[in-house]
Amino acid sequence: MRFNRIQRRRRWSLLAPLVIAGVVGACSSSASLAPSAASSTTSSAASSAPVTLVVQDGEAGSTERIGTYKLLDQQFEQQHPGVTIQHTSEPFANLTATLNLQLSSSAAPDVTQVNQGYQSMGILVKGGLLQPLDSYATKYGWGARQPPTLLDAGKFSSDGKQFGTGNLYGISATGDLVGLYYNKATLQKLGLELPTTLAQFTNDLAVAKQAGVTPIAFGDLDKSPGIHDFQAIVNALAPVKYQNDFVYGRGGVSFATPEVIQAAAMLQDWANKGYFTPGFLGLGYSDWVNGFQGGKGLFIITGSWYNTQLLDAMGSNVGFFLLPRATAGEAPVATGAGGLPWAIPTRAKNPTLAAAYIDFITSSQAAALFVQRGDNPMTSPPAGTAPQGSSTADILAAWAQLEQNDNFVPFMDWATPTLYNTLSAGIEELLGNQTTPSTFVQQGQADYGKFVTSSSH
Amino acid sequence: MPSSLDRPPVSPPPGRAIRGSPDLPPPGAPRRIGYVYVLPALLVYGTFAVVPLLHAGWLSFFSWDGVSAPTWVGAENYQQLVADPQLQGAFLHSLVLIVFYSLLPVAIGLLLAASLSRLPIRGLTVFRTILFLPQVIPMVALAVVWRLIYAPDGPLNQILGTLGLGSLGHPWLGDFVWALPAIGAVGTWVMYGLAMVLFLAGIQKIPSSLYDAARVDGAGPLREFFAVTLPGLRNEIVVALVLTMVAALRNFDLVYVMTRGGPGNATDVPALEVYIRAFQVGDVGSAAAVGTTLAVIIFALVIVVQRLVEERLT
Repeated sequence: MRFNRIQRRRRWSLLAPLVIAGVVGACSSSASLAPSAASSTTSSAASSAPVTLVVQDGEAGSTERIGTYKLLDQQFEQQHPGVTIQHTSEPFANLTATLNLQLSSSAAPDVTQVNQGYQSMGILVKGGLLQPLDSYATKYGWGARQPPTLLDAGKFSSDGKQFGTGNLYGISATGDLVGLYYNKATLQKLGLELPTTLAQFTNDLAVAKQAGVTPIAFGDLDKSPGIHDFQAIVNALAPVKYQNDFVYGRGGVSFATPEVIQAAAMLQDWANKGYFTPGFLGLGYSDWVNGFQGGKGLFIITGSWYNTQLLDAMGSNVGFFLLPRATAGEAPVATGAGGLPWAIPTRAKNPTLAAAYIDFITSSQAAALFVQRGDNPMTSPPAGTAPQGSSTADILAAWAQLEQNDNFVPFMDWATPTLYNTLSAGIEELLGNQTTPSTFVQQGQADYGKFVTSSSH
Repeated sequence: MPSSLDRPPVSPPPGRAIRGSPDLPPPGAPRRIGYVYVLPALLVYGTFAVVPLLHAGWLSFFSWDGVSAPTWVGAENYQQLVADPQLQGAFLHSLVLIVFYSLLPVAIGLLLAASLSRLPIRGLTVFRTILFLPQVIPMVALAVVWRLIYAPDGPLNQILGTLGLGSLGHPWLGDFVWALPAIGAVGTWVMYGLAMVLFLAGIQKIPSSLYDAARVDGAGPLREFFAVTLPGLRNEIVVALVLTMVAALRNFDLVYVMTRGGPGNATDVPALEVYIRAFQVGDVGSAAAVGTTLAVIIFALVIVVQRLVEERLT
């Protein structure tokens, strides 16, 4: 599950408690509310045009990105006379909470974003609520458009039990890449260069700390950023094949490997050496990102979804790079994956047109528009779209390098439905010295082992 | 036998009203027509409260992802619930929150109500309104504001710094010791106004002759409080305890917005577990089991409070 999205949309997710009123009866009472709410929004424009394509995204709150989608909607309407797009935007937390019921009802949209992982897309596939997209993928040539490793995250066996293999049920238009942003002026002032090994990077942290600069602006009050920092270190230490096998439950791998324990120990060490913003466990997402924008901190570890905001605030003073590997000369490995994938519900009324829409928003023409607006598309845009030397260009270059070396790794908490909660809590205990690296890794393995056994991979 | 309706419409003889007619049931006795009057409310209550509650109880015996066909698993969800140390922690945190949400506000409310009713204060209505204000602000809005107040660079730590007490500062919501009390303190602040208003209304109902008698007997303010005010507020105390305890146990919004159960699982509560299990993990059966257990605990606690307070004070 993509919890980074929750954080990006924090203002919206705050509304979730209002939506989910009366927690005790929530499981059944929301069942009666969701379909009626959805039908009232979808039925209004039905008669105004020959065909109405109902599109639903789960990114309400990302004004820039929704703006891009709205522009793409207009272009699609111009290319398909007689088609009217009715586009609704849901906050991410609402999408995941209501999608199961909405797609079971007659109010299912024609195209919708769904969330990756067993507990979202897997459940929908198992319930027969999503159409396989393989025939469309062949027709439109989607396989050649995006890196095969990244397309895996939209695949499930038809029983919803095997992740990353089987039929294609969703394809993303935008890509999420986790890496480091740095303050160019501060880096220069400290006399440092971008690191090429993990050891150099930790040395940079020590130099910054000694000079009185916060090495990494970071706060974990929202619980999700810690996973990004931890996984960035795992990316730098563990073999890339192991990391992919772990998420997709292949080859009987374990969470308790020496590299993972080493990564946990390193994260704890950084916390104890004061490399993070003071009071980081009580610091909210927007606070430390805003702090970094204002010059407080040399690095931050977060995703490409913050690029637009950082670019607006810092202009040419912000750059992006991937945490280098421990071994010199190895190409970096990073957490990169598609954003919320687009899928066609089984109960969609216009599936063919829906596929044409998905084809359009994942085209290289659409990719160019995403890049122009500071976003990171899954499909490579035409060369020279991003301004030279900008963080957008850095991200595109990093993306291309990962694609070339096939070094993408999915978000590790996709591995089991409960792993996000296990790891996000465990990382906080690690950072607060409430647990040891080996106990933390044992807890992660307990969660992982239980799931892999129960779903008999 | 002629019924009253067959009679010609003549005015009844003086001193004898129609309701005294032998053909009608005595006044105040239950009549079947009464059910029709309560039917609309009963329907709404049944549809939106009783049926979902029973449904949730029913679901708790299944393994269900929310979409595919549920599988009957009997008491398995409950067995796992008992064996889950994280969930035990969550219920334990709820007990701590009862102190902050319920016991403290009732104590503060009693103190305030007793002093406000004794002392002739100018602008009492204004005071009462201000003290009650936290009750009428939505919890989510309060949570957002308190998150800012508790921030590492937030007003609370700044004030401590200004007072030269900077060493007492903490990243409150990120501190394994202080996060839960910090959330609890917000609960106290929200709830004491409710308790106070309930008690103020209750005190006005106590006959002033009792206070006069106590004073004639030479009782001081303290004696008067324990001998007259406290017993007189018996019912209000039960109501305040029940309302605030329920609020403490079903607390979701404050925790969700302020800490998401963190740091670690230090502020995890059962209602948050219901949400996570149902909407993030896709384990509706387990979520229903936690929710049902919570409902049963709340129900039991309400009965205990009613018994305890009523017996002790009579």
